Amino acid sequence: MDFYLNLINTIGIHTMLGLSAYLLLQTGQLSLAQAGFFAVGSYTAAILTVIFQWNIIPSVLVAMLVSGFLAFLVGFPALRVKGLMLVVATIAFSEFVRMFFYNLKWRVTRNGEEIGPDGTMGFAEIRYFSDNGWSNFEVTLFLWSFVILIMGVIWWSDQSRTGAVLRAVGEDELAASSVGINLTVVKVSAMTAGGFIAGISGGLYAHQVTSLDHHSFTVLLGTFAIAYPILGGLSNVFGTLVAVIFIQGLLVEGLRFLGDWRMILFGLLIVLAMNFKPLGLFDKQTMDLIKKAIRV
Amino acid sequence: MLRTENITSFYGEIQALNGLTLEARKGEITCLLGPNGAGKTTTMFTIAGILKSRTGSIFLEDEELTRESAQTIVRKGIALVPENRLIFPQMSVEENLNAGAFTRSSNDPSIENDIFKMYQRFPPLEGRRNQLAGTLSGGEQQMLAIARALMAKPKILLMDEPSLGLAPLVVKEIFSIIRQLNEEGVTILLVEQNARMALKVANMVYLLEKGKVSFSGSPEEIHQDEVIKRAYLGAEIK
Repeated sequence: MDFYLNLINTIGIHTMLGLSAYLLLQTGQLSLAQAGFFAVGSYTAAILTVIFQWNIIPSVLVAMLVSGFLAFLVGFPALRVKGLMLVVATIAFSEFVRMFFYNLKWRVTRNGEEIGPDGTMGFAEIRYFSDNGWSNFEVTLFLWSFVILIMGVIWWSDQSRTGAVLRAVGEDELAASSVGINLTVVKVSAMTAGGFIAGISGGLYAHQVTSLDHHSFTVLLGTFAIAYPILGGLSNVFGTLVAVIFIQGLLVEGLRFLGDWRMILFGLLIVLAMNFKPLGLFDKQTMDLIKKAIRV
Repeated sequence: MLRTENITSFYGEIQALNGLTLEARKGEITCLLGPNGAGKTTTMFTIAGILKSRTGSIFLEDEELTRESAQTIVRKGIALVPENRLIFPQMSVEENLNAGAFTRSSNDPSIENDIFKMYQRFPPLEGRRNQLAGTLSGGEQQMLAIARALMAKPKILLMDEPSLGLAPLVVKEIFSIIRQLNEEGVTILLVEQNARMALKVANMVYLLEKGKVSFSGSPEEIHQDEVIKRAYLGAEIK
């Protein structure tokens, strides 16, 4: 049972991570910085609960604000670069963040035990849930309430003019500015919102896995973050959820017996998706089919 | 109605406009002609606020817009139909029309009514309202681009080469739309390569060369000037 609860938690965290890239992708910004914002969120929240002994909810909220503010700052230079150059710049940012935590040493002694981030050794004393007697099931409920809230907000955005504005910028920036859209505001807001979501998701991740290690925040994580919404499609949030279930549940966990060979399947999947469903599994066409099927 | 005075625009260090002064009068069609690289599109971008002029000023009905952002300029009543149409290809026709009204409040009840009016004006669009705009023909895309700009309820419409890449019959249709819009009172600033068609509809013509106005006058005056006539229309035109 715990195995499945853990898997459900992982799916929830990765869904939030994917959704943090979703809004950015809608505006046409391909960012690999999401792993960086995620790392900032996880270290911030963990430092607050472990060293400052805060409650988890304010810790996650502060993690969200810190990541969001950082994303806001990254958003401005990111306006000047597009496409591949943005990918390179955001990888650089993400690695910078990772190296920062690789070197971060902040040990304090409490009740005769040393706790806190320990540079290369990682940050291993994040025991908020067990110290406060949360059951695994409660952790899952807590985590998924954030997932549902975030999905709800983005779902609303997609139905409203906000989503249309984001998509307009993603389709053609010149056309978007000629219908009176302020590109700077839209692109920086999308980046900031992405930072908020990645921060929440990182903060929850830190407490779910109980120990952090800079190896978890490599470019591979950033790639996963954009792979989910790309595979799932940018027309609705459930695409991202399904893509996470498919990749984390089926490919990573379900095919574990294949060992590292399953990474080849992952590559194959991306190639197939790009050929047969270039706009994602849940593009407009598929959604129309589903809607029709429901009506019949 | 719309005046530019001595504007100069740059792409990085490359100067594209070199002290350009022109005026588009209310209710008229003003046309900019000129060879490639003369600065026609740059003029449009500068008026629309997508590029900023380093000198001079731009006025719409005595209100200065020189330093305003692109979205403020759309709100003030200048709508651009960009070159190559630039509709949103992955959005439906209706979503494109809605995008044209982004500067209006989203719960403005008249938006729906205006979309209905656009379908009446451009009947081919109505049958394709849920179709992705990228799948429309060139002429239909141009109609959509014009309709999208009209959704912002502009005082003046800037049209950048609406005939580009269209079949001759479709070009005729687009020009009859331009003329019809003008008869309904829309002020138009038109950039064209198709000088013959443009001269037929224009009230006032500016010839651009190297970022400057080299000639301005009515189409009749152009017909009287042998040198210009030869350069822009070919000698044998009467």
